[in-house]
Amino acid sequence: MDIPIPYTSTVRPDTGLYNGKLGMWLFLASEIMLFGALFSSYVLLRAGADEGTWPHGLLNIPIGAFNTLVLITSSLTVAMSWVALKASNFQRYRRFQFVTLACAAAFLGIKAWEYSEKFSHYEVWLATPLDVAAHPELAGHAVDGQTEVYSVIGHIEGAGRGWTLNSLQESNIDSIQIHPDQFHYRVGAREQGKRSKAEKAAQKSKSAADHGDAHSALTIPVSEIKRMSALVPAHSTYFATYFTLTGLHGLHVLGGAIAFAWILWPGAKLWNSDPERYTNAVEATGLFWHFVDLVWIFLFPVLYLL
Amino acid sequence: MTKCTMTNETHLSADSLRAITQRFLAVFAVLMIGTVATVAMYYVHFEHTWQTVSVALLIAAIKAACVAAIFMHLSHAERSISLLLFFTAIFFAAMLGFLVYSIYSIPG
Repeated sequence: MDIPIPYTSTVRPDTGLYNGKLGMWLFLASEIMLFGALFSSYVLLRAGADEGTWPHGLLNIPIGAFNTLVLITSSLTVAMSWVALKASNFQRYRRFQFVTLACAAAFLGIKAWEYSEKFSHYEVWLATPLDVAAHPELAGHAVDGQTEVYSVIGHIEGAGRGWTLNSLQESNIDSIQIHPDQFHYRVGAREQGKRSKAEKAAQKSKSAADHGDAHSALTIPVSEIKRMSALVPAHSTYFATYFTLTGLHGLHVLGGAIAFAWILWPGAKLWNSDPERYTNAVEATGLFWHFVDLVWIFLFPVLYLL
Repeated sequence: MTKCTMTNETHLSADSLRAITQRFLAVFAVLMIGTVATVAMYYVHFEHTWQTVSVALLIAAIKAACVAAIFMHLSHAERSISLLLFFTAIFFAAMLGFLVYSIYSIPG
């Protein structure tokens, strides 16, 4: 005997909502506390960091901004798909949800590429600081007013994933060749802007060959390395926070996309038997999706820009 | 303009749906402009860090409010949702408040 589940498509008089919507809002309340706790942890760690030690400029801002636009677009298509269902236009709903799923895939794909870039990028802390006068290619790594560089960030030639000082020693590697990034995170954004202008002006008067030399590899003996880490969670508190927050957010995007895909394909039978309940399922899942978008709206400036 | 109470009405008129669609598109435009403004802010360079943080979080808060009010239908929220979010906000504020208090109460 089938026992109907009450208030799946009609409003429950005491709450003014159908049950699925109330359930989703209760879940979102717990999600607010979950991400709130992580944001609070971020505030605590950031406020407790020593002056000049919190990284800036290690994330790709144009890519992060593009991903923000992708997620915003998906929020619009989710909202529009609900409107299409309210207008009883299932085909239009499907078209909007295809775009939503494409946006979700694009967001996760771009995030995976960003992660991969970080995993193959290294910071090398030096036992003996390098003099900028002797290494002009490290000019962007010297902190304001200092003439010495204590660590270098860049791409190491032939490096595998997750190399550390121990793995270099165990592999009997004598030295590494690193292509330094243009700037170090200890150099402030304003200073980076000034140096970038100066560098562009200098490049105008140089030949293309000189330009090539300015970005040549730097050889560092393993005996001169104090610590080495890829830009992974173990690198610093900043990256531990970055991967925790964006990783959890990415899992939410994946979860939302799976739910939408399930409703769109195997769950579509419900549209024929109970269209109102189907529309409510899309609305409730849409609430979750908009929440995920809302979290990213804060994550982007906090992690990429501040 | 057509007044629409959005979510709990089983059937919405064509005019209501058109009005809702226009609202969604307006929010989308605000979110796009907000994102561009957020990135542009990074290159402005304010004198103090707190100014940069304040402007960035203000833009994010406006964008978040638009998403919550229109996309999540909170501008027409039922009393039960308002009550639920009110208590969530209190717990969230308490968590953040105690944390900020702990930062400034650490000796040394």
